[in-house]
Amino acid sequence: MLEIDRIDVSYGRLQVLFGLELRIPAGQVVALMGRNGMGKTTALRAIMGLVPVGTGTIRLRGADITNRPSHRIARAGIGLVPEGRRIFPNLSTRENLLAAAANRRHAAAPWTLERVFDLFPRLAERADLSGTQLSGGEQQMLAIGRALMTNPDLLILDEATEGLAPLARQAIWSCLARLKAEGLALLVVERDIKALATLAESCVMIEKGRVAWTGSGIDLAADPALVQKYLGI
Amino acid sequence: MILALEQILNGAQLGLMLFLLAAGLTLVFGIMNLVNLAHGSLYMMGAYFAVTLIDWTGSFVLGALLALPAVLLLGIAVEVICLRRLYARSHLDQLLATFGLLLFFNDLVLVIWGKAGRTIALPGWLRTSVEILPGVPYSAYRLLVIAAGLVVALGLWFTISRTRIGMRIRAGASDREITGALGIDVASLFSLVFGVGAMLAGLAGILNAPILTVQSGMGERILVIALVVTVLGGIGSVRGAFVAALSIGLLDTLARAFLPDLLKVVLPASAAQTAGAAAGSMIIYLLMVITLAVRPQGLFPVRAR
Ligand SMILES: Nc1ncnc2c1ncn2[C@@H]1O[C@H](COP(=O)(O)OP(=O)(O)OP(=O)(O)O)[C@@H](O)[C@H]1O
Ligand SMILES: [Mg+2]
Repeated sequence: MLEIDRIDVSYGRLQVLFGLELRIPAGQVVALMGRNGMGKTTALRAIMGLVPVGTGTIRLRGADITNRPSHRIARAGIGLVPEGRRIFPNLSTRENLLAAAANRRHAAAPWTLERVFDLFPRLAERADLSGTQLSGGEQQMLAIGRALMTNPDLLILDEATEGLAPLARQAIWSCLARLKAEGLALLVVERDIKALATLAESCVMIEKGRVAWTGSGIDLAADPALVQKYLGI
Repeated sequence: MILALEQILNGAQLGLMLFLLAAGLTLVFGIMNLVNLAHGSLYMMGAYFAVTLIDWTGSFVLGALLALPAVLLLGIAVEVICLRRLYARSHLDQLLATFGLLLFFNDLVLVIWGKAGRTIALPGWLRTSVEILPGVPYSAYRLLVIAAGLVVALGLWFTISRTRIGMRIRAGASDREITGALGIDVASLFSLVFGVGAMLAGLAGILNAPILTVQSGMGERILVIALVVTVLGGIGSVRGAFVAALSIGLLDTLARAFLPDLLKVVLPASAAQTAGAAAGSMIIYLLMVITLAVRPQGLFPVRAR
C-alpha cells in the first residue's frame, strides 16, 4: 500500500536518510527500528510531508505523495501518532478527538467518538478534562484515538509505548493488535522485540539512514546477536 | 435616572463598537501570532466599500450587507498575498510590513475615491428613536450598533468554543504541524480567520460611516484604541476583548458625562468642565496602566501554548 523508493532527506546540510526503501502491504504491520538518531522519526516525517524529501518517491496506493502538503497526505489515508504525543493542550479530550474527526474517504464503518471511547474506556471518563490533565498512558491513547478519527488505512506510530508504565504499554499493544485485526496497516517505531514478534510481519533495521536488515518479527526475536548489533540491547 | 440609563446604553454602544474593532485584532494575534497594524485599514475599507455600494444600490441596508463580504474577500486576499508569509517572522518584521500595508491602503483610497472625504446619510428609520421603556426614547442607530456587537460577540464565542471549526482553529493555533498532519488545511483555516476579523473591522467601519467623514487615515485613530482593548483584555482572548471593550466604553462615556458635575462640588464650574473633560479622555489609559500593573497578561490571559 505504501512504497518508499530510495528517498534522501536532509536537514539543511545534514543528510539523515540515504536512499531509504520501505514497503508496507495493506493490512500488515511493519516495524522501523534502530538506535537513537538513526533517522526513524525523520522517515515518518518524510512520509507525512513534514520534512522535504530530496530525491526518491513515496507512493500511497500507487499515487505519488512525495512532498505533498501534509494535510493532503493525511486525507489520502495516513494517520499519525507523533513522537511525544503532542496532544492539543488547549482542547479537552473530547475536543482533541472531534477536531480531527473526518470521514473523507467514506469508510463504511467510520471511527466515531463512541467507537474510540469503546476502544479506550479511560478516555470516556476523562472526556471533559484538558489534554494536559491526562496521564502519559491516557495521552497516548488520546493520540491514537485522534489519529483514528481521521479514518486512516495506514496508522503511523512513533514510539507509542515509550516511557509508559507496563500496564499502559500492554493496553497500547493490545489496542494495536485489535486495529490490525480490523485490517488497518501499521507502521510502528518500536523497540519491544517480544511484542513485535507476535505482531509485525516485517521489521526493518535502519542504521545511519540506510536499511541495514529486514526480516520478520520472529526472525528478530530468535537472533539476540542481531538485536545487540543494531539496537545495543 | 433616565439620564443614567441613557449614558449606560451609550457606553455599551461605544464598548460594543470597540469590541467589533478589537475582535479581529485579538483573534489574529492570538491564533496566528501576528501583530497587524493594517487592521484599521480594513475598518476604513469597510467604510469606503459601504459608501460606494450604498451609492450603487441606492439602499443603505443592501449596500451595507454587500460591503461585508467585500471586506471578507479583501481580508482573505491580503492574508494570502502578504500576511501569511509573516506568521513565522519576528514581531518587528510584522510591524514594518503591516505598517507598509497601512500606508498602501491610505494612498489607495486617495487614488480610487479621491482626496475629499465622503459621507453617507443615515436612512430615515435609523434617525428615529425607539421607546425602550415607557417614556424613554433611544436612538435606533445606537440600538443597531448594540445589537450588532452582541450578535457578533455571541457568534464568535459560540463558533470558537462550541463548533468543530472552532476546535480546529484552536488546535491549529497550538500546534500547526500536527493539526496539518491530521488532515486539516491550516493555511486556509487561518485565511478564513483573518477574513472574518477583517469583516468585523469592516462592519465597524460600515456602522461608523454614516456618523463620520469617511477619509484616508481614519483607521489610525481607531487602531490605537483597538490595541488598548486587545492588550487590556489579554492578547488573543475574545472574551477578554469583550469585557475590556465594554469596560472602556462605559468608563469613558460615564466619566465624560458625570465627572464635570462631580468635580463641580470641589472646583469652580468652568475649571470642573475642563478638568472633567480631560480626565474623561485620560481615564481609559489610566485603566490600562492600572490593569497591566496588576495583571501584566491582561484580564483574561490566554493559556500558554
Ligand atoms: N529538525 C532537525 N534539524 C536538524 N537535525 C535534526 C532535526 N531533527 C532530527 N535531526 C537529526 O537527524 C538525525 C535523525 O533524527 P531522528 O529524530 O530521525 O532519529 P530517531 O531515529 O527518530 O531517533 P530517536 O530514537 O532518538 O527518536 C539525528 O542526528 C538528529 O540530530
Ligand atoms: Mg525518533
